Amino acid sequence: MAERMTCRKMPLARYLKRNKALYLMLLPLIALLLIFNYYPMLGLQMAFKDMEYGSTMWRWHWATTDGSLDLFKHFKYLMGDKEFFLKFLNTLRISCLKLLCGFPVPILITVLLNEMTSLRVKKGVQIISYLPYFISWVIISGILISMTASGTGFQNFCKAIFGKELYFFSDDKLFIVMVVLSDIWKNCGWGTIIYLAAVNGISPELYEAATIDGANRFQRIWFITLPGILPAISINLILSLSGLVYGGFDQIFNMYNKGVYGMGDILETWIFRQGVTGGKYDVSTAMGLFNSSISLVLVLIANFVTKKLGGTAIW
Amino acid sequence: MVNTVSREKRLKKWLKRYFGMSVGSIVFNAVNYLLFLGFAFCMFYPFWYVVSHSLRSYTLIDDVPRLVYSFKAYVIVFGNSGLVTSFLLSVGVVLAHVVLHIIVTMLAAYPLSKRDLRGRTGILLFITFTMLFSGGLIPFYLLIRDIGLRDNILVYILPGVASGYNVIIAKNFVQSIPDSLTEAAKIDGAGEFTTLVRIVFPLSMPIIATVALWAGVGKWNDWMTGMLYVTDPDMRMIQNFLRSILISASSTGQGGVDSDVMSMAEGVKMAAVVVSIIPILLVYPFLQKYFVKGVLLGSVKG
Repeated sequence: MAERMTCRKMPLARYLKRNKALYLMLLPLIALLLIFNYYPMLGLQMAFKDMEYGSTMWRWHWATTDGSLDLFKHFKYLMGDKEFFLKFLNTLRISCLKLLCGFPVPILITVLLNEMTSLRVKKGVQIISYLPYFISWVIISGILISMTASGTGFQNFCKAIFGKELYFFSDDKLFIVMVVLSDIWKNCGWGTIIYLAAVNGISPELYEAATIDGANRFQRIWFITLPGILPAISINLILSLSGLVYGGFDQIFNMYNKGVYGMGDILETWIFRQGVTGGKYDVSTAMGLFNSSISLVLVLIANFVTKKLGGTAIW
Repeated sequence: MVNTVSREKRLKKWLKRYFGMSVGSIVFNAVNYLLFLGFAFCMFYPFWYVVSHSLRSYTLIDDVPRLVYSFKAYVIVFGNSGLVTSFLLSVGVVLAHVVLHIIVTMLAAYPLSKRDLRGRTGILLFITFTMLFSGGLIPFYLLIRDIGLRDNILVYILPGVASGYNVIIAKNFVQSIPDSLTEAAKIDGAGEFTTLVRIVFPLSMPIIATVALWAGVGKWNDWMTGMLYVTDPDMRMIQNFLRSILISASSTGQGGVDSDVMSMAEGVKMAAVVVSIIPILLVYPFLQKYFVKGVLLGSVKG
């Protein structure tokens, strides 16, 4: 302790010299973050400039309309753009559906898994259900396209139930169904981890006492298991709310095609096509900035709320 | 009437004696088992589909194509230079990336774990901000283009080496190592670097495994980098190779997938998928063990 006190009082130059090694260790990380994370943030100036072909963004001039300075020109243009509004709506539709349908699934699995008497079945289900999380969307999408092709067992199954084959990759409503279902398939097992940890924290004595008092299975679930994982549920819900402006680029980009642009094309895929394929760097940067600003605000709100709830904030 | 009631009672009693639980519990358990059977089937079906279709091929017997099961598709896959090259490249890239990732992460985690390091709060803020906000796709794309990483092997390895999230969880772990251990090393005359390598590193193996697996799986599954910044077909990563045969309709049948027999191509695609999943399956037991730990560590405030 005494040594630390002297450390604090030490002049900065001497302190740095003595602890040179520590700062040198931080150097690689800081350098990499500066290059790959902070330098691209400087690129956000493109959102406020007019693009000029053949020169770097540093040489571009600030955005103007009719000769007068108008920094938010691209944003104004986007706000009035019907297509932008449509893509934003698509993004919200997909992310909300994912949240609505996908959020309860891990909770349900956790609760039922907790009631599972056979340990072997429990382990087996966990092993199988975590696996899809580690498979890339490229592979999942490839499997799905192949699996839902005409004439496969899956389509025969659809024929038996719906009376016709369902083309998930050419009808945009069915496409959304497939997006949501495959998202649940990939992530539901993984989502149980945090809840299972919470369930393990519940004292077994509570269950024993409840059984003695004559509580049945459903009462035990309702009054012990669910309250036990409620903090985890609320934090998880708030955190997933902050991701609502993202529809899942990895997934959609690998699954969609021109036939399902109507409802399947989200903001991020649109930005990609406008910017990388179309070369409209200024407008697409503005779109990206719009999206990441909303998400930043949502994350900050989420963190504030979880802190207020007395839970564990993310930082 | 009296008779049926007593029979019901007897049945209940009998069930209770043999199963040790009430009728309601038996029904609940039965339904629960059925639900999980269905769930496990849904989770497993796509994998089963891939494996079974990778083994299928059609052979002409008396001029009629017949379905036979064989390893033909795998022979074609392993004879395909595109797949073998991209597979080996991916393995190499993942290894290089993971090694660099761990070095950078642990080097940063150690000084940051010292609460009395001057400027620590500022540096942590500097790191945390990168987790919250990013320049977005287009500025990053232009950066890679401007620093000449396109069609360069480094584009696979370097971006993502510095991950704020992993540094923070590694820092939290190192912080939990008792100070007395590092101080003892210092009294014995060890410098900071020696302390890190000799004391902190061996004690941090659980977090190193977590971070390594995290980074490794992420890199193995990365397809964006290859799609955006690499045009040379000899420099494709495994995911890009798969994308080209599975999804991009224009390139189906390319890359040596010579399908003289009908429907062979489908089997070859599925065989390629199986081959690309194998490395994940190999590390899967470790993944289970350490990923769970990592997720729980990450949810603890630093």
